[in-house]
Amino acid sequence: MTMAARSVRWVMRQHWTFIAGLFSGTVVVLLLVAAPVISLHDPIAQDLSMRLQGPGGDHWLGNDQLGRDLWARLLYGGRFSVVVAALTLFLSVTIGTLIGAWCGRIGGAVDEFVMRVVDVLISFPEIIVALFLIAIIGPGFGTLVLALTLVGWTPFARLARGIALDISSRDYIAAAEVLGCTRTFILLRHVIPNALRPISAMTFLRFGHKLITVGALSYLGLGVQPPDSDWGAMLADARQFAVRQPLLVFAPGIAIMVTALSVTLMGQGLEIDADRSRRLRTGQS
Amino acid sequence: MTTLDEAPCLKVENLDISIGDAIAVARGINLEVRRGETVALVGESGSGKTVTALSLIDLLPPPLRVTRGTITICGETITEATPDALNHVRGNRVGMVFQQPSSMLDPSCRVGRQVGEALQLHKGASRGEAFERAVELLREVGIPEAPRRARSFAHQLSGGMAQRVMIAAALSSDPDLLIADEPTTALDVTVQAQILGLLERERRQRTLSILLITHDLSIVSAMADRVVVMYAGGIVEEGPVETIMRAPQHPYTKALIDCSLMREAGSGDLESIPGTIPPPNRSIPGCRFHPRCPHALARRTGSVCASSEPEATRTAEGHLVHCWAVEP
Repeated sequence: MTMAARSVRWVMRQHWTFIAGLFSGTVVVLLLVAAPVISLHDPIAQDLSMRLQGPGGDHWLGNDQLGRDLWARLLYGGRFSVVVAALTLFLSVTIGTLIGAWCGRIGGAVDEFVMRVVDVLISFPEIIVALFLIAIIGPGFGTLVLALTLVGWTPFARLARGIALDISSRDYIAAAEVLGCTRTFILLRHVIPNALRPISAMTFLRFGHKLITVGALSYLGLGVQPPDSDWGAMLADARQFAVRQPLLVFAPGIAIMVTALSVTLMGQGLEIDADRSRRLRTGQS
Repeated sequence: MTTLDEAPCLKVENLDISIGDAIAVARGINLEVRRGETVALVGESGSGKTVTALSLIDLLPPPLRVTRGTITICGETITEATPDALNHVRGNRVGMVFQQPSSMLDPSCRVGRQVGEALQLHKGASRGEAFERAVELLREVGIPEAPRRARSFAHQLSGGMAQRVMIAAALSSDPDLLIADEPTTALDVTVQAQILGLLERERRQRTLSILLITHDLSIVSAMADRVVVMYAGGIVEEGPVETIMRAPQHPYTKALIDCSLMREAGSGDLESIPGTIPPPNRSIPGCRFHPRCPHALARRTGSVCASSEPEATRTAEGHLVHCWAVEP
């Protein structure tokens, strides 16, 4: 069986919410990747004669207040939103899982200290920390990623620690210890691989949250700077023209919603499935 | 096959294991396993045999810990070893086989990789070499289609297969001592015989020393050279397997053999020992077995059994009994 056939079979075995989310998520990603091919216009080219024009002709979704093609802006803006959300999420998961699992394995004072730091960080809303950092080092792509990662790793650390504690009491960890495996080896080879499934479920669930936070910061003008744009900034710009051309607000709003929803659905599907197999397992033993 | 002059592979002296500092789970354990010898550690549930086995490689789950005594494996004193030295002993000298084979295998790791781990860590094998060697080991322990099986996951194996994989993993580091903690309890009878046969064959081929922990006396008589009987955290009798099985001296050993299905079919009734093993937090003065001992009950008043603990009495060469009723 080829790799592709096996992946298809794996996907078809998942819960329907996962499949639905995967489908719409893939469509969104494909659209964003293929943006230069499928948008006929430059996202920042202005044409004031076309101001606030409704859909029609080769401007599929019409034009915004400066006469820029809305469809093109939607695709290019989405690239920014999704990349920032995905990148911060990836960094958060990696850092959080490593720190959390490591703490769970070693325990003691270090564990206690790190977990209290997590408690403190987790009590700040992400957006407050982001505002703070932006105030210090100015807005931009790097600041956004840094700010969202700084707080974002904490829930993953907490989760990974809990799972690592659970896995530490499993027999196969003792078996690995008998074989003379070192701490780091056990952590990387036996603890983290077994923690990945629940962590990945949470990763998917957090994606929507990240996307909305990125959107919110851009909406406040603290994210991407003009002439670049993303969905949050587009929403903010369109605010005053919402009555004359509602599509200007609806399009980025729906884009955020659809993207967040499809990834969340995938996460939910994975979680349902993990729950199901867990119940099966415990039912057997 | 046992040579007395050779240094023992495992030597345990005066070992005490406690929960925290207060409650003794095992007391005054003396144990010796010589090269190429199989020693069986026997006792009912709660007698402290598994705890003793775990302490040998410093695997006691807290708050259990060794409070006194020394453990020496192949010249390395475990009780004083640094973490690195301990890892070295675990990876090179000792293998362990457990009671629940399927839960001892990492569910997210292919079995071949897991078997090869010790080689990768301790023999400096590359990932590929370790895997090749793992396949060889799996073949050696009688797994059919070893190359394909090595790529499967733990949940795809039956209990007997999983135990073979565990044995392969334990043997991968070419150990001198194999600790088998109830290796066949979770398996059905036909598979039990195969696994025991496998252990016996490996012992002969590799001159392994085996510490076999079990409560099944039929396994003991089939496998062991010497038997150590434990009761409530202490050793009550030890000696060569023939002597213990044919002429046990301690009342507990006698009762244990009477309870087993091994006795020739007599009346058809199965004996049982009245009472249960005392929990470790209950202190019993004198001999730990005396409340359940027919001998102590018969002697009743003024019995030493209830007041002081019996010392070891040597009845024959290598045969020690801890009982007041036994005359040297």
